[in-house]
Amino acid sequence: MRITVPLKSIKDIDSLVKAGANEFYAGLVTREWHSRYGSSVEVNRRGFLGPRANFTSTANLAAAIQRCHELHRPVFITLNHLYYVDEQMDLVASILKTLNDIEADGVILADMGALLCAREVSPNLKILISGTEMTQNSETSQFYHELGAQRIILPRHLVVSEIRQIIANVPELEYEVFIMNGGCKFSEGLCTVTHSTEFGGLCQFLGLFCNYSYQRANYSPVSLSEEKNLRINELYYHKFFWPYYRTTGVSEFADICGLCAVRALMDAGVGALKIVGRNMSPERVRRQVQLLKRAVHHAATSSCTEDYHQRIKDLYPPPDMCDWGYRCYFPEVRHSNHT
Amino acid sequence: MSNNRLWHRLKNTTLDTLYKESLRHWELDACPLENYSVSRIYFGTEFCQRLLPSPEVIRNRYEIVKQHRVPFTFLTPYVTDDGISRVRKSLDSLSMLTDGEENGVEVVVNDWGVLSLIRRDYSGLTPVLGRILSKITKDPRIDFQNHEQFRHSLNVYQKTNITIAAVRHLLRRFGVERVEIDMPDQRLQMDADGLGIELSIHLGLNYVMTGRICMLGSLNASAGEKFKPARECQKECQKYRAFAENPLLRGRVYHQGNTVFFATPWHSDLVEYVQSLGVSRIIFAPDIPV
Repeated sequence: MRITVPLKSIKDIDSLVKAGANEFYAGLVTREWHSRYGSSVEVNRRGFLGPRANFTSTANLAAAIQRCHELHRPVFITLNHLYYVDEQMDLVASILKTLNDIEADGVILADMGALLCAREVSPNLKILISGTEMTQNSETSQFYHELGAQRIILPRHLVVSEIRQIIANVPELEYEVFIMNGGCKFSEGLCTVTHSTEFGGLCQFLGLFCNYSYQRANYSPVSLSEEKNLRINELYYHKFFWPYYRTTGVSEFADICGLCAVRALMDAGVGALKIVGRNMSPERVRRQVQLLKRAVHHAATSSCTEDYHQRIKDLYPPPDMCDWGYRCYFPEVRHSNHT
Repeated sequence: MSNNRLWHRLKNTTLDTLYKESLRHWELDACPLENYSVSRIYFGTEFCQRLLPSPEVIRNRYEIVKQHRVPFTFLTPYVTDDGISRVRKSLDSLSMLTDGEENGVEVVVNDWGVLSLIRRDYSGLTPVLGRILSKITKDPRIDFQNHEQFRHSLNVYQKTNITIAAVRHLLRRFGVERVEIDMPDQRLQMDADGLGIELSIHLGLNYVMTGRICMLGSLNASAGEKFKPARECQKECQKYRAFAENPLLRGRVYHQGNTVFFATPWHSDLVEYVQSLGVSRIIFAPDIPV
């Protein structure tokens, strides 16, 4: 089982490989993209963050890819904005050709137009379907297999039994799941708002700045007891990822994790675990890689899930993150020693 | 139309009456939509596989629609493998109901897997690309026309992925001749005739975000069981509605079950503007479509 790690600078590669990174993914904001759109249109899901989450020089990315290859680590590049439009396709094609030329190992795509373009202009790039493309069933997995994809990054909010079924039905593909950071109440690929640095997510806005009003479906007012229940439920809902868990020290954890499920995911046939967050500090990423490496080792050597859970007890997140199980990628296999 | 109350009402009233009542409900009775009449009825769900109707309910709705002598469109959501099984039952039921009819029933798809399934196993049904798969940015916080960061790229934010020729070519391979799009607050810069594809536009309520985690669906669950992705619910979204207003939002936001909708501001020229795009169908939801 491979650990897939975000990369934004060549200087981080050696330490991350030493910590246990098996493969990398990175973003690229080219000069051409920036000169046409500035910060008004994203090229990938962290495009608005510019150099805080991306390479902004093709030469630097090429050098990073070369260093990764020296260490036998593949590098996949995110070109995974949720959609592109006709006037952007010349730049998308240009980026794909560049990635092909600098020998990136693959490209992470979410848009059908970009996928069809990649098949034509960048034949050497492995095609990975982004988690934002919402492959939630075997039919969709097969659909992408027939379109030339080699790996599916499964979206958030699938349970392990559903993942197992998809892999069993379409075993020709590789599968990757999110395992650390980047939680969301909604499905990223089904969200249509901008996540610019000025606005952030609408889910955060609604949680922080809006009080819901409630009605019955026939528009009549709710009773006091109904309103009480609805508001309590809403309070719990806002505990769900937001406000995000913020550590004060150098904890490994950011907001959500799926450590409890590593053994179950391995059994299901998942091949790669993704650490989300190309804008995270390299130090936190390094610590998460170390943590996951230990978890993967325990998953591979434990006799059963219970044995695995016993062995990873010292790796668990702090109790206030773990208690409710709302910051859990796979809550159905959650096993916290805090509760 | 997903609301049971409206379906019961439709048994005893004319389509035109129900339509006019719905316009009044949304305070749109003075807008040009009033000059239109209902030429098709939609039923099903775009946003939640738990709300897929049983074959019996599909049959009932289909019969009601037939009585009103208009065509029927069935909506399908994004789905897991379990959802694919549920969609199959729905499509089997629809295929039996419409067997021998001249024009196959339309099925709106919001999942590439469902589209693939229809092409392979249900050639008698007509797939339509739903608004979840025809991507466009919608954000109730942003005045795209005037915002410093976004107005320079308005031409991007006014288009969808359907403007890419290769995407339309792929859709045609899968039998898709019609695409549905939400009319975003920043409006559209598209020419349906030039695209060579039929366009349907949703007016009024834009879907903004959705997912498997359901706020209302966890209402009756204990704290530790709330908000799990695959948990069954008691369809609380059919009992209550939640909405929010805020001066920083450009309209009311409805958080209905697992989906957030944005009631976009109405402008007097909107219907005329939609016609100028070459749009061949306007979709109007008489109630929140969950």
